[in-house]
Amino acid sequence: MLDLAKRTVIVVDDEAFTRQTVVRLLATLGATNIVQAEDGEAALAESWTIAAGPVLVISDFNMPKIDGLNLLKSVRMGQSGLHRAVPFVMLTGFSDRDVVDAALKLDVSAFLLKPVSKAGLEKRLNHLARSEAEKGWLKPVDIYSVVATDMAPGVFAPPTETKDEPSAANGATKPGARKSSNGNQASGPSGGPHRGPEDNAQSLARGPSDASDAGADLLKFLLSNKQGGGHATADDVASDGQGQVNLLAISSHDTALADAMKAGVDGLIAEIGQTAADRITSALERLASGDALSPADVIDVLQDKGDKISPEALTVARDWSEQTRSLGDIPKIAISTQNIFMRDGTLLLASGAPLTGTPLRVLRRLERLGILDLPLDPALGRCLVRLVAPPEAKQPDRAPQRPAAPRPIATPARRVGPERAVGPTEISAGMVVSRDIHTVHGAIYLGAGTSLTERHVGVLESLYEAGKLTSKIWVNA
Amino acid sequence: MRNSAPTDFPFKYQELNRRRSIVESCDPEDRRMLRGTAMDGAGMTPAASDEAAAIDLVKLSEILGESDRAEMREHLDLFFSHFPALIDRLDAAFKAGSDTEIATAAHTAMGAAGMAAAVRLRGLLMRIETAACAGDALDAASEMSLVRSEYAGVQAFVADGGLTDEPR
Repeated sequence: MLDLAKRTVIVVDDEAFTRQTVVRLLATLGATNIVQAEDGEAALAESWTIAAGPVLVISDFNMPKIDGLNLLKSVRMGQSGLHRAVPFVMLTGFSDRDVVDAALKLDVSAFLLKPVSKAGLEKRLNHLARSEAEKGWLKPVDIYSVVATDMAPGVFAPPTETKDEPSAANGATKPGARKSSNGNQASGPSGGPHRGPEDNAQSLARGPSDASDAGADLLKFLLSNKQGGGHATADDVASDGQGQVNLLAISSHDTALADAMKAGVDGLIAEIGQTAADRITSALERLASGDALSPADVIDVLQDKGDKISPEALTVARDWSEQTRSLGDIPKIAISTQNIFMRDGTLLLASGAPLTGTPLRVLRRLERLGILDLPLDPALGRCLVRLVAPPEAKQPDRAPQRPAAPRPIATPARRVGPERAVGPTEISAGMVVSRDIHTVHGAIYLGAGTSLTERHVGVLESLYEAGKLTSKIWVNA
Repeated sequence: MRNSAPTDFPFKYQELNRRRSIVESCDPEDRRMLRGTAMDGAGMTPAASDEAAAIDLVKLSEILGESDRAEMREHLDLFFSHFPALIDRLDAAFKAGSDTEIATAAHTAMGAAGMAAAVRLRGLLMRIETAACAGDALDAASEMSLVRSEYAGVQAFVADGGLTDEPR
């Protein structure tokens, strides 16, 4: 079990009786340093006063001001005084319907079903102890920033107006005002995708259903992943049609997202330049009106940028054939013929997107993070994507000619045993999930091919106990 | 679009609450007639049936991890010191007429009742929350009367020496 004697535990619940009961149970399990907070806002304030050392957060979801999900989001985005990877246990009831899927996207450490019992709490702490040493699960801030934390209306009270304080404190502004505040925004100190404190505070501060912010975040995320991590500058985008084509292809079927992104473009003009913004806006207007982009559309756009793809290649492209490849084996010139989704259902790239340059880098990065919703070949251990590409033999830089069949691909990433169904209490770290694991709400928690970690095991068990998981899990042992 | 493989839990939950609503809307005589049938509230969760004690001592000892009566009493005293404020909040939500506020207040109070192992009170609040979420019409006076009555039952259970028995 987690050594609570050496750990600060923050218990967050607006309902004093439940909070004090949890505190009492923690004390009987050895906790000596317990901080109580009555809502997420108070917890964030407390987080800056906590001395260095291990911390555990146990938080209710349904609270005024900043609720549990937004508190978790703040922590994972580095907006609190705590380490981003701090263990975070979410208290949940049977009726907390939408909390689970969002909390999973925010990498909640475990769920604890109310009414909390001492044995249940102890069990969760045991799992946390086993998984605490695991690394590599924490995602970049950008990934967490686009997780929607608004709940279905009528289920819970919406957060009350607390939005101005963090915004004002950090100088955050709405997207439309980003022109001035972000005009000189550059890469972060580490060279990675940059989200300044303004952006972070803004994500925290924005209203729960602000679709245009979500669109702007996604747009910015894709731009910021240009060149494998650096933040795109106006020159980058203006000189590289790929970035624009990528954006063109994001959402040919999701008109709401296209609208949202169109709104988000207004806030990015200062960064990407008026010409590029006009082009993106124009394309998004087409998408919002329901126009789907075909491969031919994309080729036409590419043709405008004749310096990127030779006329010969474009001619050849008219005869491209459809193939299935792994993301690690995409030819130099290829166009997706399928919609590519993220696990949360977000359409990332629509059919017709070129799988070159920025889009491909983004896809590979998302694949590494395990959040792409693509079929996975268990033998290859890689996501598969359908695409059209010129026959290998016709590529000018390839000699001698090869058959048109796909190249042999890398050695199988892992050896797998026979598939079998197991109960949530029978799973263990090291098993490989052979079928997508869904929550009862239909969202995918873990995709086929995921190798289970202790962290996964703990979350799955707590999900099952909270009645949020399908009863069988298919694994290759 | 996506294949999901849900358990029947949420659907069973909704169905049981629907049945419970019907049973509780009947007058006592009809309710007795329904007992033992498919519409019987006792079939949903034994704890929520009319016969269940106001406090489930087994559940309470699970929550606390011990069955020491003094500890239980202390825990319930804490509950009694906080729960009236939750009743007032629910009352205010009913007066405001907002389903969202009613659902939220009932949800919070339900959590507290659950932590006290006040199973009947918890079941009642769960029904109110579910109904409010579904936008069903609720009679504020009647519901608040039921809540206050159940809460009084919890207090009476403790006052009448309900904690003196060993857990079943």
